[in-house]
Amino acid sequence: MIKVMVNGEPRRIASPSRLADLVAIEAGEDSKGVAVGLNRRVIPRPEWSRTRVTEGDEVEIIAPFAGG
Amino acid sequence: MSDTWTIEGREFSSRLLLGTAMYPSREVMLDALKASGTQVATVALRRVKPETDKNENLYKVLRDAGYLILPNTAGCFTAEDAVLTAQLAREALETNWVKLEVIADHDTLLPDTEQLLVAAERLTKDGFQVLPYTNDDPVVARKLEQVGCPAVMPLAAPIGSGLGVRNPHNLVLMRDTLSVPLIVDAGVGTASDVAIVFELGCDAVLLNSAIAKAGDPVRMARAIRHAAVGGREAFLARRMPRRLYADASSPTEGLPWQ
Repeated sequence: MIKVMVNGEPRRIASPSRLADLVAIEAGEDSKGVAVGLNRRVIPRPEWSRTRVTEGDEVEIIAPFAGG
Repeated sequence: MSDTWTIEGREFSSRLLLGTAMYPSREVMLDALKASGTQVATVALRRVKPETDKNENLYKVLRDAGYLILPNTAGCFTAEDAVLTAQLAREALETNWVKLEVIADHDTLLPDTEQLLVAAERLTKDGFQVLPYTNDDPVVARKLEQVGCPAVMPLAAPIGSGLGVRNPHNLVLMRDTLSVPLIVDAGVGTASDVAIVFELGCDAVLLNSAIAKAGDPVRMARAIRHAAVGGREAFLARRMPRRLYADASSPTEGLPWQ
């Protein structure tokens, strides 16, 4: 297990974990409209499945909300 | 008679852009959007909450209804945060259009125009079509155009204040000095404010609270749609000159017993 931050919350996840797995857990399988940042860098969707999440990583998973 | 306008080659027939926040319900929001005739709906980007699935629905619902979804960078206080948020928005929504907001403080929500210019330039170089929410400052507006923004979006009054156009002269100056569309973003409170914006010659209005916080949002959306048409038509019709003294409408010749 490794410790990471997901959307500002501490999480323990299996090692190794791929970004795609984390997104599926947090945002569901249908991730249309979702974007992911890893350590303040945007990770394009095609790279999720080959991006490893490692100890101490800060992951942001975002989606559109009502806004002005 | 068509009276369309364009941003970066994309043509719009409606001159209203609407926010999607603060409506009594999702249903009222969608009805209000429809009643306004808008073609563009703005959204914010926030962290996904696993316990709700409303977020994605919003994206799907707006897209299925045919709206152009314009993500904003609301809540960003630095150019760096705004750039990162815009990049996330591009990835999430598959659009390179962004409503760029870089806010100075929580109380006024006024734009930090120094940070705004930095972010606008960086995002433009990164391939974005940046629609910047800015102050009613003609000089900053000109600089935003110079860094490549395809439209400039000055406020009428602070966000959510509903105070109406505080500085009409600056809006007229901006309209006269800029080549790109001028979209008034924030501060209108009711239909007459919207009419005034268009009578001044502005090209479009982006609004949210004036409709969402009205007693009857759908009715206000309809009122504002009419006001936009009325104001725009009045601008195109070119108003009469103002006079200090009265000028009788009826003929002064031929009065009986005189």
